[in-house]
Amino acid sequence: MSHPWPEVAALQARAAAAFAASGWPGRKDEAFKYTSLRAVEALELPPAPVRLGVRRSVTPEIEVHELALFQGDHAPALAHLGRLVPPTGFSAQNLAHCEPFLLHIAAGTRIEAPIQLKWRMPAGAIAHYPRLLILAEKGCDISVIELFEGEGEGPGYTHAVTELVVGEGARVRHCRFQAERAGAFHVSRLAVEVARDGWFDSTLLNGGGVLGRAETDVQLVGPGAEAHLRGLFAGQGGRHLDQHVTVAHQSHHTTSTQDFRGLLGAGARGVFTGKVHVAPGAHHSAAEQQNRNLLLDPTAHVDTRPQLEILNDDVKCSHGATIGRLDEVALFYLRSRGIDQVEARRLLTGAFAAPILEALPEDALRDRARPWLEF
Amino acid sequence: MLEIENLHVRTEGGAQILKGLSLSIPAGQVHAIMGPNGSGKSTLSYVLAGREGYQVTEGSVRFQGRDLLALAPEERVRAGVFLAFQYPVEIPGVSNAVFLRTAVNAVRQARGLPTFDGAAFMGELRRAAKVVELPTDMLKRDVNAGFSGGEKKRNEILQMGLLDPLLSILDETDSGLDIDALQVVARGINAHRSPERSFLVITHYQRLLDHVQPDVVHVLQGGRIVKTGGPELALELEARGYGWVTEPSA
Repeated sequence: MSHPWPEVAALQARAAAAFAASGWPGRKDEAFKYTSLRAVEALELPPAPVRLGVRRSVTPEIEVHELALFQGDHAPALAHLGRLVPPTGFSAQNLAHCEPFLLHIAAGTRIEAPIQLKWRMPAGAIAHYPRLLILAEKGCDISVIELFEGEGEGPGYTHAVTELVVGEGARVRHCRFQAERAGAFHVSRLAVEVARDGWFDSTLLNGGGVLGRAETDVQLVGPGAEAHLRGLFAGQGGRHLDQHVTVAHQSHHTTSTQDFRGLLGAGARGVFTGKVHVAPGAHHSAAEQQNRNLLLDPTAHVDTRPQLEILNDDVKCSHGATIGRLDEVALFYLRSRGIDQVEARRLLTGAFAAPILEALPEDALRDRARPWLEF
Repeated sequence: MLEIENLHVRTEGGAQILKGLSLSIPAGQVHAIMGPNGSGKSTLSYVLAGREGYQVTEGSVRFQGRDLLALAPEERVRAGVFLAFQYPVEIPGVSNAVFLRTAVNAVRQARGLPTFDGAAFMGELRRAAKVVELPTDMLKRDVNAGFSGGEKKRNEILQMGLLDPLLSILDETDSGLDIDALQVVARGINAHRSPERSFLVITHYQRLLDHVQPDVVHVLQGGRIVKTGGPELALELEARGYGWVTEPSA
């Protein structure tokens, strides 16, 4: 069934054609070097309608609508749909099947309480394609939580795309919390454009499903733009967690930081790919990138690839990656004070994860992530 | 209270460190173990506390009649054996207050005592911190992170006070302390002395023993106790070094 809006329907037709041509990512696709989607591809899951829950009580002034419902005023927002994540390649799969939602925050709007969007995978062996476009206009200040979770059990597939436009001087905090049901495959892409003096802060929690792949693409397009990205990926028991981050400094005086941490237990596999690109004209830019990993079992594995691509001399950049194990001496110290091994390990994994968990906008999310720290 | 018999220990690397160590500490006594570097002092303290990486090839350790070596590290301290570390471990990201409360409640629960809630524990903590003159802002910081050498050792004695052990093993607690800190630490130890509680003070020098009077002094050399005497033995060792002690004690 095609979308009732001709512009959207046309875009979706293009996307369908593009995905038909490209297909699923294969082994030769560099961005999916360590993550295979063949298992979910083989399931040929039928698309199901997207279920979006919006907690309105804390944010009465905000309304989230399906684009199809909009008339008049919101039509210009359509120009942004598919701009940051165009209908090409694998991402076109999302646009081809989605029902796009729009969160449009007018210039100067300040909302303290986070706007929480719940993407619920319906029960049954299905695929769903959440798509969200967030337009945060000039000078606004908001916090958005996207929570991915599921009903029922067994295999399912989420391919989610969020496009976020951070306007001039706007401040946007975004939290993506991947807590899909145990058998689910999750692929999400967050593409962000930050205008002059805009400030973007992102916290990723990647811990659900059998496979969780979270892409983050940030473009700092105006002078003074900042992006602060952090993430925790935690899992065991065959779980595969992949974070793929790209930050492009396209303008001068731009700043980015990245702090991604992996906690991997028995049979888990983690992947971190982080690219920082500093364009020729992006002088006086600063970029920091860190990926730390703790392997909590001999069968845990992580591949980390921090990359810098600097086409400008006048910049401050640093990056690094570490892979370690739980500190045995610290563990003994805690146990020698009467703390049992399970609790001692929890204290140490909790300390490792603390800088990320503390950045979560709500205690409820922290409580939900807490069991992920038990190994 | 503590009976060590013919203890033989080697490291996982295969080096034999303790070669038939025997030692008996009755309730209420302070025993000092002195010895040169490499004599096995720290190995003894780690083996008693249950650190991995050591293999007991012969001998036994009984604490109040129980086989101490069969217990996990956390079970030993719950049973009443506490080790103050020579090098207290820094644990960034875990606050000292949370660590101490978790530890104290785990130990109390195991002993059948009521656990503390947050407010009650803070009161207890403030009292205990005062004894070793640790400022309360130290309790909010991460475990030993950025503490000076003296602060770390005082934190150890603070833990000893809170965990209320029957046997405290102090592994070179005096090392790295200036005179003032030494006196504070000694006061903390003395405050804990009682007819029920025993101490095993492992030290390289005599100076801590000026402040914490031992009942018995042992000399550990080559993995065995080679001499045992009264407090005067410590003074003699300080004056003459370890070289003259060659004959095993009776």
